[in-house]
Amino acid sequence: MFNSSFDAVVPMLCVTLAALAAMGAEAFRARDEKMPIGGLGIIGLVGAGVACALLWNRNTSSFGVIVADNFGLFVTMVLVIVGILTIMFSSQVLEVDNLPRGEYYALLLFGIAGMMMMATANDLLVVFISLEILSLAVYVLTGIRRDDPRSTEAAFKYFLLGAFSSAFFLYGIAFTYGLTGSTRLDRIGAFLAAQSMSDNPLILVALGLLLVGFAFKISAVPFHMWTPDAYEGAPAIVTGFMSTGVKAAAFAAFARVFLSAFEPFSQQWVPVIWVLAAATMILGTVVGVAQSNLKRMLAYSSIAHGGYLLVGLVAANQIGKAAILFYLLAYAITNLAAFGVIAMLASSNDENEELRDYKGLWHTHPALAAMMTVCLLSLGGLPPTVGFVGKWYIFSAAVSSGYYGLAVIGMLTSVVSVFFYLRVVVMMYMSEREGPEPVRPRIARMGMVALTLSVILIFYLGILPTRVLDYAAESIATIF
Amino acid sequence: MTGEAVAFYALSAMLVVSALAVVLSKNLFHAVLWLALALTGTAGIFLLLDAEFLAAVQLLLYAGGVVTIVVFAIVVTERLVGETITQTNRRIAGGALVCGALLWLLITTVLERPLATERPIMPDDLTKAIGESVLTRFVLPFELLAVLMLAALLGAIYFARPEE
Amino acid sequence: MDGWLGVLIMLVLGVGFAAVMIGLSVLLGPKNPTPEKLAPYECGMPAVGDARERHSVKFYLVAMIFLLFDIEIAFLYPWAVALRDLGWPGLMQIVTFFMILSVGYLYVWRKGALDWAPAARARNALRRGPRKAA
Repeated sequence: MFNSSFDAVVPMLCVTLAALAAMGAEAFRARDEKMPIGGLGIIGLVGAGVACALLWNRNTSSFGVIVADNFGLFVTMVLVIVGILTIMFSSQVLEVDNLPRGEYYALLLFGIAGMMMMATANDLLVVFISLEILSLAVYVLTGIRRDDPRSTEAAFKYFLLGAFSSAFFLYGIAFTYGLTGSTRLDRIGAFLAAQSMSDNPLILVALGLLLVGFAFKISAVPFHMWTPDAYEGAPAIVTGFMSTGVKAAAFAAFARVFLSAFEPFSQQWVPVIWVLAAATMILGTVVGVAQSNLKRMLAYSSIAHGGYLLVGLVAANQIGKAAILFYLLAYAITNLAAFGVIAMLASSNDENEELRDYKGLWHTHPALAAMMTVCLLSLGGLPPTVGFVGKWYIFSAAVSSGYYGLAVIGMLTSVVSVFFYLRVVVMMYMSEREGPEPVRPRIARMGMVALTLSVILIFYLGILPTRVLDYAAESIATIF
Repeated sequence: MTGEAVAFYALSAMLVVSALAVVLSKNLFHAVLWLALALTGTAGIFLLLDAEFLAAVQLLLYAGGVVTIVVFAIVVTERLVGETITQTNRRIAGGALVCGALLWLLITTVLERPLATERPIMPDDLTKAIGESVLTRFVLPFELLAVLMLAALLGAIYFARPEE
Repeated sequence: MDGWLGVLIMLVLGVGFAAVMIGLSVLLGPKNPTPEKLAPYECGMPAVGDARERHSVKFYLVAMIFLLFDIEIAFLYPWAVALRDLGWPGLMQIVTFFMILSVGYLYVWRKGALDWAPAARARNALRRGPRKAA
């Protein structure tokens, strides 16, 4: 009936099975019984990682809708790393906030499975369903502290706007299907390349609707309105997870849809994304400077980073496409680690997330302060961290494609953003704390391990990036 | 005008009116009833398009299930019971502007370049065709739907579960 | 399309009959209202309190669970129609679909979302071990 191979779905199957197992375990858990559900998730994710490594370079596809090409596998690998780090950071947070483990990990794993599917989907229908899976999981995770009105409000806002953007996306799929007769990306691409559709305005409507749907998910300006509130209201570790995982998956699908299926229309969409990229970088940076809440500041910073990724999409030459993948990895590790630090310092009744709460952190938690510094410097793009390499490649791609304007805007905003990252660093080291020390929980060893791993990766990829860059370049070669 | 066209315009008028009533009526419960009517009208449109299965699903799941859920959500929410809540907000002018622009864009593009008006040849038993394609070509999205529903269930139960 | 004419006629007749009957009773029926007659009917007893009170959130849970399994049933129908052509692979796929959703059913059941009576809740509490002293 279908002679396609089953291999390509194995990575997400591992994660989905882990999620199902987590849900089943939670169902049969006796009251007050502690189960190692997080460990279950790590097993599933490691399984997915191994499957990715085995599938590398094999270019398999399953059911005609999932393709495990190197591009998808690279993003899947990023998601595996994001998942493992999130689970390691989460154990302490769950303990401190007294959150339900089973539900938390099950939703997290469902979300990761959806992201992996989105990164490897070759069919708009599958992109949509996986987008919904990951969105639903993330909506609930945002409001997982259901007694906290701020968290619930954030989840509600995110849910409403997310549902709205999904409607746009679905409408775009409907138009695309109506025009091309298929939802498969390869067939859409072939159809658009063969037929002269350039005088048909409906294809532009379809393109625009799809673009709005994606722009919401990657929180590009002016579709970023939900981001600061959702990121601020969610528990810090969930914010870390959604600002990296969701963005990676959405960007992968965005790049795949626009660079493969809608490549014939790049004349039309490149200027639009140029504007989005510029607006996103500028607004994310300028508004970020004015924030006094660290989580909100990092929310704007993550908006700005979305803008840098869009620059890679605009440039879209060989360097640019590889740079997107490398930047996704760099940003994922760095941002998640930064939010991990915030999550570890939050106590149950006070999140300690105002900038002034970080005054004098160096004196009480020297290791955490040092690692936070590394993360912030990497987010700011200073050498010898991975953030520098990522930005370097993005901007050099823009220059080599002739987008000097974008490159200049990117560099200027990077310089401004360094100011607000350094402000936190200065707070941590230079200022003495006035008033009582904020109450901080005991720092769990698991989180410290995750943080150390991230910092090692930040430096490793910052100093010796060639190997991973080669992988990224190889990944690009397979699809575009 | 054929009977089909008459039916289409009648249903469309009903749809537009009821959809407007959903967003404009002040009583939330009335809005839900209008929503039920709008969803039934959509089922009628599906019927006109020869999609009997889809029409049945629309009635069963949307006009039946979803409306029930919304009604239940109202009766279990303290603040909403019996109250009249203004649904419209101060930005109604801006909203109308955006909606109007979108409508104008869609109408002009569709009028300028109409889609194929010929009805494609359909297999005799559409429901059977749906069953076959869902379980062969679209089997992976189909199984994914189960995962999606599971995640939705988990979230809904988590938020709505009473305190232990 | 033509097969639906009968349905249309039935709809018109049904709605029309109801409308005519209610209209006739409004027009012709004797009107003699007393406070007792106007009171809402509640099993013959005088009504207590307002009908618009908040109900248990359990109703919502049940509605949500109902909708999910309703969707499941909706997918069964086209499969059943095409059963013979799909054969064993089709059965395997629909069973997989069911197995995934049955995890949700198990979860709902074990979490007590289907328990209504206090007795059932007490039984559950017993089974899961004594409640920790709060």
